[in-house]
Amino acid sequence: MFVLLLAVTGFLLNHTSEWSLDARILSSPMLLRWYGLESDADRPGFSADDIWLAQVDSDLYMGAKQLLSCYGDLRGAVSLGSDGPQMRQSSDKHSQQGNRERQVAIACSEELILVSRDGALLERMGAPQGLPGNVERLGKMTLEDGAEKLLLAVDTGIYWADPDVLAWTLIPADKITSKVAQWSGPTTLPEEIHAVLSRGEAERGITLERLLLDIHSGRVLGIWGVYLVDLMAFLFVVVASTGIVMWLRSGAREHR
Amino acid sequence: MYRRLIFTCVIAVGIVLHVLSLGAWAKGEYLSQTAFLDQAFAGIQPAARVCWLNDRDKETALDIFSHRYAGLRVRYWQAKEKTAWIVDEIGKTRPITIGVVVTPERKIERVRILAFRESRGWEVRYPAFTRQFVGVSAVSPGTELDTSIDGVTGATLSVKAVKRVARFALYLHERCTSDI
Repeated sequence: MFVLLLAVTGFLLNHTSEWSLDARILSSPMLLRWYGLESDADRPGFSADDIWLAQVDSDLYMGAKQLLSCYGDLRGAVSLGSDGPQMRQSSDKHSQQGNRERQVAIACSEELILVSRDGALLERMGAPQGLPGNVERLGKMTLEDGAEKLLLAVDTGIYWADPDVLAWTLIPADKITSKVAQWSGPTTLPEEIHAVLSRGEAERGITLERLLLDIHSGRVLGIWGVYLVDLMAFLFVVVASTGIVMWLRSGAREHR
Repeated sequence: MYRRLIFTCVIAVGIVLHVLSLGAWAKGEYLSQTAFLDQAFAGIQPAARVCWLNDRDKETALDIFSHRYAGLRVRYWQAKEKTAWIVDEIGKTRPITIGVVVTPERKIERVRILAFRESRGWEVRYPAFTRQFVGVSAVSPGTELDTSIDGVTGATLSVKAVKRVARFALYLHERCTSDI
């Protein structure tokens, strides 16, 4: 049965282009659910002032516009660069050019992304660029002197940075009070944005070639399916090897 | 006879598993930003700065990378005239995080691979490859490196990515430090 499955899927995979199996899209709800691609009716969004951010798979959306993909789950978004004096005090000529417009900080669990309000990427920061840990929450607060700070709750504590996000400073948790800190939290997306994202999702599916490949490799059952195929492959090697040995031995006996 | 066969099978499977595991083993973060900057500035880490890219910079980046540079600003660190840059560039499908230190004489002092995310080509992190960049400069800002860099078999795309980032860092050093 197993050999038959491997042989049939292998045979079909050898002819995917000729028979256009790579162009046949399967979109059965059961299959999409199996692949984790079912439409997320309760997809949360995050709002940064009047801008909505959402995630479909790894792709980030600003409103209905696809921005880029990000590492990890979307954790929050805040709008930065209001008229806080911290921005104006910057002594670096190059940094000052960034004050021309407000920017939006978007946090996924493994990176922080800075974009302009029209969605142009300014910079992305992961651990190698100094992000202090896996992001849990993103927020902002305004100090008594009016300076704006970006807040980042990671697995190792709470950090803050100036709006230009050049350096992170670990701060004691008691310095952050719910009165001054505004943490970005998930909320229901506006209906029109949700409709656009869901429409995009509905157009996706699995190609027949992908399904055949996953059956052939066992991946359709997840990592344990792959291990199962590995085990079967190992058993085939053993069976083939012992078969050759037995055949050689029987040949030697006949000679005698 | 059977014992020898079983022994051979076990060794063969062991070798296959070892070779397969090398890819996953080689992926990862090799050097933190702090460690890289400590090496570059002898333990005294300067404050980060950003260099905003203008239209000419974007054109030069397009020429160097053969694709649009993703981002409008590049983070760097500077002490006196020495600069350190951390730039992501895709080798085949995933970004390699590469650190480059440029001296006041506009020559590369060191190249380090901070993070590698692909399954092949990770050999570029070895000193045998990265030390070829020491003392290398560009013929003029944004142009080819003035020294030939030997490739690594099986890591052609990663080698090209590191060379592109080295060129970009030399260009940015010239552009972003000249008008401070």
